[in-house]
Amino acid sequence: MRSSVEGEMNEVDRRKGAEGAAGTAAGGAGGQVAVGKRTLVDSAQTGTSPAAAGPSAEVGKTGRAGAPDVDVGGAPHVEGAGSTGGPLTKEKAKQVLQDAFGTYKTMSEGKVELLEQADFQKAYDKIYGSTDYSWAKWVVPTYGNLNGFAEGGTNYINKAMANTGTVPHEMLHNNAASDWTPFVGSQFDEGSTDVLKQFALKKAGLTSPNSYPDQISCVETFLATGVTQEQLFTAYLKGGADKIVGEHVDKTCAGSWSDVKNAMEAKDWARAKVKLAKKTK
Amino acid sequence: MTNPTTDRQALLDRVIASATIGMSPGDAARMRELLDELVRDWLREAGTDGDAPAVIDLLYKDFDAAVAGKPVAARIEAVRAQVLDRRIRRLGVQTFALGKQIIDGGVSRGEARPRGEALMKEIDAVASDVRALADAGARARLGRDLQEAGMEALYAIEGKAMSLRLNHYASDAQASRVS
Repeated sequence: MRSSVEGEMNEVDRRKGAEGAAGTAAGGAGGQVAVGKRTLVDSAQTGTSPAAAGPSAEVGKTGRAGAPDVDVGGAPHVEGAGSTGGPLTKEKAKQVLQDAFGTYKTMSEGKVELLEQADFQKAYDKIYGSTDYSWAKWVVPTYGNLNGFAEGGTNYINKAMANTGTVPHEMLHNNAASDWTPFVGSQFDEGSTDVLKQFALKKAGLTSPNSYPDQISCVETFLATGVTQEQLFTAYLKGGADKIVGEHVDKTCAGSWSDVKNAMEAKDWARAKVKLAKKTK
Repeated sequence: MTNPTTDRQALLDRVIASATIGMSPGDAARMRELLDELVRDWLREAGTDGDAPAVIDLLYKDFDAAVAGKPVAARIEAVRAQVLDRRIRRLGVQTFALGKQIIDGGVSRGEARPRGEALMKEIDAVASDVRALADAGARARLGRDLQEAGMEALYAIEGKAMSLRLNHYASDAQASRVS
């Protein structure tokens, strides 16, 4: 069974060089695994091929004291995101976003690379292959696989772990207004990005799992206080979060925007939702 | 006089009463340990302001929905996942804050490294607990969040690759410095 985890990843059209990589890529995946054992990343939501499954590992041979043995494979699928055909190409994702949000701004792709499993491992090991945090010594024993990482301003995405919504989600981040994330914070941003992603995918007749259900739930609570989706899209893509989000919450909700943002950044979802409840008169 | 909503022991008793129904003494003891940690973090989240009871009510409602009507093993598993989720949230908050400090120049490389290593030890320990979960969906969801924290701790240690969300922060910070 393939390994996968829901997460937001991107599309790429460039392959990272692999000189010096210590990856164990064989057939795009990685070789030896303890079949039937468990990994942190074995829910399936991408629809990519089983061949692009997990990384290789020698059970019990980790490079670091205390690191757990690797377990890869064997767990059941959670959601068949493959029903929509796996990760979108960069071009398709851009088109989907342009169709949905083209009236707000012209969408751009940003710096992202979507790599096949083997190339992803090589890209990772090009950075960390000679350290105790190499793919074989750290990633495999600790996580089984990785969704993505960033280096030098570029987001590297593991195609084997991506789903239909991954590329649009990451591409949306690259199109946010310059004042958006600094004002709303990382967590409200993730929830809003997924709201925009779902809107665009739905319009294109596609589906994808929610990547950030807790954050989305908070954004939906915010919308329920009387902000339209169009206002949210405007703040996200064109700017004005201080008024559309901040001032609105301060005027309308039980807590201040500062309360909400602090709670969300602390990942205290219940507290954030209570603060977002409409003010009682 | 105690507040039945936010008093720790009263809240713990209430949660234990509903979550341990039908459990053997051994299972109930394991469940109590988990619930003790869970309730402690609920109270931290609720804080001490006037909204604290509403926060606890919401957390209790969500908790009840997650365990109600489930067999013993599934209830233990659900609570274990919630406890791990909260540990990972706390770790993720710390690693992201440390990563932002590094990017903002608020902490030197020499100071960041041991802090990153300490966080990494905690992450490694939680990873093995997450892997022991039977629920593949919970494993995947928590595993993703743990990876994110791990990449941030690694950035603090090695100063090279980072998580995607930290990269977003770094890009915004750079744009703001340029403008």
